[in-house]
Amino acid sequence: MKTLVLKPRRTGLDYAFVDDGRTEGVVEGAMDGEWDAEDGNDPMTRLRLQCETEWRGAPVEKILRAAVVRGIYGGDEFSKPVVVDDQVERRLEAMASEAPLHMPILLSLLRRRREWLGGIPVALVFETSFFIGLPFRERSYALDPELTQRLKVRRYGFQGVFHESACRWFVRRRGLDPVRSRILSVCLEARPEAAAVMGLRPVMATSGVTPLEGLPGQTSCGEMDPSIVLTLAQKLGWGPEQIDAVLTRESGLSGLTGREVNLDEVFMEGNKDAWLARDVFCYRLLQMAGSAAAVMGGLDGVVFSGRYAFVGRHITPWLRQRMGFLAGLEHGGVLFDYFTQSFAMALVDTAWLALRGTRDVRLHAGLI
Amino acid sequence: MYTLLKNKSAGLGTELVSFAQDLVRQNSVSLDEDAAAGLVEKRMNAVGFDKVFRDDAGNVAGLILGRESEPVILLNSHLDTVSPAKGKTADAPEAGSIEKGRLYGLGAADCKGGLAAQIYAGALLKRSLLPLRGHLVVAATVAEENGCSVGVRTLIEKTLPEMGLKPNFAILGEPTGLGLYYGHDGWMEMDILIEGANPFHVDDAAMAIFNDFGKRGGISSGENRLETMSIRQPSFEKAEGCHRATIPMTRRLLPDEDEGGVLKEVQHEAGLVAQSSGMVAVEVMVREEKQRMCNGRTTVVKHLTNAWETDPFHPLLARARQSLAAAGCEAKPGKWRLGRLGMGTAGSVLVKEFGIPTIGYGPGLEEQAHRPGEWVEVARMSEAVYGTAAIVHGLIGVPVCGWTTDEI
Amino acid sequence: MNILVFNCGSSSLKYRLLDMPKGVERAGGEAQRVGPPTAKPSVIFHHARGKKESFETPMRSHGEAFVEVMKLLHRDADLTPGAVGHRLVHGGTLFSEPTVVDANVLSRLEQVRDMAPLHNPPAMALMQACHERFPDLPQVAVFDTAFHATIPAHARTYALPLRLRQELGIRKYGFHGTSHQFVMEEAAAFLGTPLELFNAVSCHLGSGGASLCAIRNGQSVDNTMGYSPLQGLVMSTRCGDLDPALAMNLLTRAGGDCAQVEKLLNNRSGVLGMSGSTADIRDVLASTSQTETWTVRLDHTAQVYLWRLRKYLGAYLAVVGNARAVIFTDTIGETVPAVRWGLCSGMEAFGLKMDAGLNAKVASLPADVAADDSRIRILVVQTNEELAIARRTYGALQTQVVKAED
Repeated sequence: MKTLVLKPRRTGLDYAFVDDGRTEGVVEGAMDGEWDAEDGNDPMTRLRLQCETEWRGAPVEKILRAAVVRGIYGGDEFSKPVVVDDQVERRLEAMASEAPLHMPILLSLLRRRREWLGGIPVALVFETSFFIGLPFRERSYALDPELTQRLKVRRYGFQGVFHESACRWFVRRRGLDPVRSRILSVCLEARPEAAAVMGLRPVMATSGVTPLEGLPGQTSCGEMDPSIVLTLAQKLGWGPEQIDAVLTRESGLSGLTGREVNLDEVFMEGNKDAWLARDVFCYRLLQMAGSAAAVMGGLDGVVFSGRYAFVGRHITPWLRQRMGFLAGLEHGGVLFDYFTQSFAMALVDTAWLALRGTRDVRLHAGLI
Repeated sequence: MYTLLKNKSAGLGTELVSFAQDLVRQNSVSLDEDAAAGLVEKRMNAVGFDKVFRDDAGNVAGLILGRESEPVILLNSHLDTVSPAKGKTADAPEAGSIEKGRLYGLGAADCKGGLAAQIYAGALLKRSLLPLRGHLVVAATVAEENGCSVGVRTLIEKTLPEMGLKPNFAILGEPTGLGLYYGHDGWMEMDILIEGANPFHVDDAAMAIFNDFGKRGGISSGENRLETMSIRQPSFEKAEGCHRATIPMTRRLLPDEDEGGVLKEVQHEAGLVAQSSGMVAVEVMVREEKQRMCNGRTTVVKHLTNAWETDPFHPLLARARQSLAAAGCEAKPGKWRLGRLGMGTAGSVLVKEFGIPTIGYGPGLEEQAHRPGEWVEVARMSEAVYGTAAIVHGLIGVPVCGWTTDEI
Repeated sequence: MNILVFNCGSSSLKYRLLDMPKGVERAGGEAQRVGPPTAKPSVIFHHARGKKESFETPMRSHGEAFVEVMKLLHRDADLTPGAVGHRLVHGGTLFSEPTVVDANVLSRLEQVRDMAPLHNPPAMALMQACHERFPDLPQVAVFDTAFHATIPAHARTYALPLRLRQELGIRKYGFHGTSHQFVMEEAAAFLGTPLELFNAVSCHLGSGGASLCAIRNGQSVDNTMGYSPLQGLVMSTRCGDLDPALAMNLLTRAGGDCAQVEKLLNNRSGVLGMSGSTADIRDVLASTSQTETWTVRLDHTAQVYLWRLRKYLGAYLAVVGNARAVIFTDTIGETVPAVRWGLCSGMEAFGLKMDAGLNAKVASLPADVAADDSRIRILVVQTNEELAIARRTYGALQTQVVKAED
């Protein structure tokens, strides 16, 4: 049997089928469509239709053991994956305003789960869960606590699934003591994110209240003097919406290069115009390595993950050479590795690890 | 977010147009808006407003709840129209029909097209699941055209406070051609009364005033003709041993003029003109009228609309402009010209009496208002839905900065 | 040569007369309540040759204050200034080194006036007045941003579209340059390292603003402050680093009112915002509050303050590579051992080890508080901005002379 992995998007869905035992490669695909489209044009109904042909009419329960859904934001509410029921739905509804663009899509998938997925258990894994326990000193901004509580302002990471899986894999593979391991985890996705992970728990993250802060992304600006926002408003008469459009869609590595680029292109040889994007990105990573070593009292390794994990190979030689800031033995001892597993596999792993204690036998069996 | 709004608003297009057609087909001359109000109420419920209610005056208000209850924004359009022109223009398309992308019919531009767009802006925000901080009220008010904003006054004075709502901003769906309008001149209807024992004196004085004021019937030049004053022939009557003449007159009010000052000024000038005509007394009064509303209640209304203006640098206007720019809509700021006297908007009441910063953003064209063969462009109506939703989200939405819709 | 150094506040004018190149102070003082008359009269507190005096005299502008100061100095032939040094907060991209002022420079300065709208205008008015009154007295403008002109592109560029960076001059400028440069020179001299080989992280921790500077080969290669002084560390009332999305959200909530957001982030955040009671980290560290809520809040404040510092210290040690020293200076850096300890303890991985005993009782500056086996030295150095400006001024004039002789 299989586990279905679902990544709902604004206008579509990425999916993957992971076979029991997961020895074989994963079947992945994408389905486009508006979630509230009528007459069966929503992505999930289209996926079901496609499946029915393939399954020759067999019921869902015969083919799928469980579905695992990726949730981008779980706020302070969800510290680990959950099996979705009506109560979970209500909790998600209550926090819709904290992730106004994402929660509605997630809900439109979950609300009709019975119609689409019959009786199979649906597990929900949040990217933020890994970061929910960030130490207070790391998750706080230097603002009045009254304000930050009212607006629910705190730092999160938004690539928790990759960080968690990559670090666990790294520790196992390199024979590190999990409890004492000190890792800089670098997730290379469209919006890259680095985290300092000590004893498999994050102690530092580059993202902020939103994924905009931190490392520069493919089109998002990353860390920036906050007064630049005010300068743009004052000098250009722009409203926050206009500023947001530029900072999230025209900035980052593309803004530095002067054309739309992805991480792969930035580090590809021959792309001379991307030198500044490359330098800025590497420089920020070097700073993160320094910060990570400072907050963890040292650094055992750097692990790259994400869709562009292999880009890490271009960064490693330079970064390794700059590790001279670490004293003595540690200098030469920093390990580098690349977690190249697909997101679907990482997601299923994360879900299983968290849910193996649940009583739902199907889920348990399916996920093992 | 704007892509999302744009896509969803395209999806609402058909529904919007058919509703606007229904609304235009339904007669709703001032003080007889009941049936149209019923349509609005039904539609607001259908598109998912959290609460819909009708008040004593006959206004319909729909509420979409925000999470923090502040600030409150009011989208307001009037439901009523002026009376149809006598002697039907034969070549005008039938009410509610669409020809060459234009929806025809009385009130299409002023301001049923605007009303439909505002209702669907609410529907669009609801449909796109974008949470709001403050509350959104969409109100279709009665007795605007002929009733000097009795409807909107009741709404603000009574209906909304009873629900615990006090609007911080208002947007009118009056025709602005999708510009952002922030005010207009006012006007005031007066009666000049001339009384005296000697009928010849009264007659002389009345004619002298009529001729003198008539000459001023202020006209500015060329095609930008702007009526500043109009005066009608005096009527005469005899009462209790004295003769009386009444001269009805209408005069434009500029933003810095008020009722008392203008009355004094007109009285003074009329007095001077009448001086040479012997012993007569001249008095000037604002015209008042007793009105029976569509729900049977009666009210006395003054025929007066104050000039109003929202500070062009007010954050309401700035934020509306910025939100539209971010949404990719072009919106020129401006003011209603009110070429003919007797026109106006609820802005006078909202700004002058209740101190609520107000702007106008509607799909109709001002020159279409009160015209035979009135129309509104369907495409503009659709854009008004999107634009209004963008403005509302900018003002009271939960900000979504930093996120993009898909990748993180 | 006597060099008169001016440091302009919005309503004050501080001055020092220094004998260069010896660096001995000859006279000094401060004019207070400069500007339109207030309830209290304008006054100059002056000291020279161990004697303190004060004079009440109307000073409606910085220019008038300057004239009064010159009158005081001219009473004594030995105290006649041979040149004037001015501190300017922001030189934009136009001024990357101390600049001898002439009419041409004065007009070019107009272009950077608004880059520091609170600080540049009074200093520029003062320079104008000097230029008119004493055209023969050489003047040098010393810029806070100048030391950071060497920050390389990858560190100074924000990941924004080119047109915004170019049109609005958006880039990292960095601040506190005069102070960072001064303590760097002092530290290098103290350690006997040639400046051009000196690598260090300098921590200017003031009671108001604070910034870290990464120094390679005697040049600034990064500064925690950015386009404005708002970015970077947690400061007394400034928030430092912040998710730009949060700034936009606050702006939305303020109905687009930039001034309100600016005030919130600049004046009501940082140590003050977090503690809710004091803007001074010394109070936070020293306070033993009665109630538990307050204790927790103060503890949180100290944690966030120190944590941010530590992250940047680590980042800059990595950037510098083989740092010779970590330098602490200015009010907090010089006088609060707990802050230094909070930063440097547990940093053995970097070869940085503090001697707790030495750190706790620093008697005279400069002092080295690193443990014997620490690869990186930890120095506490007193900053002296006036002396720094005098040095730059003297240097600029010498260079000019050399150039003229060539």
